[in-house]
Amino acid sequence: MIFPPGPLDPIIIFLATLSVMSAIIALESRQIVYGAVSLIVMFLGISAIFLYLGGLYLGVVQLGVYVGAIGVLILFAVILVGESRTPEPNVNRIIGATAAMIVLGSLLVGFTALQMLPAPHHVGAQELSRIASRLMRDYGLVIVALGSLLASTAFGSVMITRR
Amino acid sequence: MMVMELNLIMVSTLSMILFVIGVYGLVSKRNLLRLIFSIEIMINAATLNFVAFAAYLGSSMSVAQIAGVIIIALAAAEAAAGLSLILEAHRLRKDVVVDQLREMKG
Repeated sequence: MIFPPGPLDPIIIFLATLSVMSAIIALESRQIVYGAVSLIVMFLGISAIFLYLGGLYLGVVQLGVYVGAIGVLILFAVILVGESRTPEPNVNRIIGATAAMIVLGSLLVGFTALQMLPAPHHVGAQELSRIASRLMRDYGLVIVALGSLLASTAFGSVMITRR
Repeated sequence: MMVMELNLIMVSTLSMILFVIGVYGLVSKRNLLRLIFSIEIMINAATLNFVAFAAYLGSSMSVAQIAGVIIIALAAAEAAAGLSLILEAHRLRKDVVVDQLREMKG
């Protein structure tokens, strides 16, 4: 069901809370390994939101690529690199919070544009075959470019870390 | 305000909060790994907006999912390149603090 009626969906609230708390812990945890695990939990929460909103294909891709690949890659990098020996200065937090407030303010201004959206109209669940055909028909060149980018990134990463 | 819009506002608010958390991390943290975390959080927030608005408007869910897949592929490339650079920086400096890499500015 896409955007089911109801004042505020408890499932969305739960997933949103999980994602936000995980994101905060990912940045503020004392040990970075816990931060990496928390980041993976955030990826899971976002994936669940995708699935809940009807984006089945994207939810599964998020689960496979983000949780399965990027999350594990980050975890491996964290385990290899370990904890930083240089402490984070407290003044940076104040600067970061100020920058975040400025961005939040500008986003809130844009948020008022939500009232100008047209009324929602619902369609059934999109078939995977339709997405696949559009992906190959309309976005074929993009897929080839992405494949080339990923291959060159993998090659470049190997070249950087080879020595 | 329509009842249906409440969930859109909820998801948009979540996206906004995640983006702001990412900005906070990007500005305040000096550890390269935490910077990668922040960028990933911001990318996820942006992808969430695509799906939320497509689900609300109903007509372009497949396009939103395709855009999301493209974003995820770009994020995967960014994570792979970033993490390999972090490993190399750690090998050179024995630490992953961004201040120590200032000399790369030239």
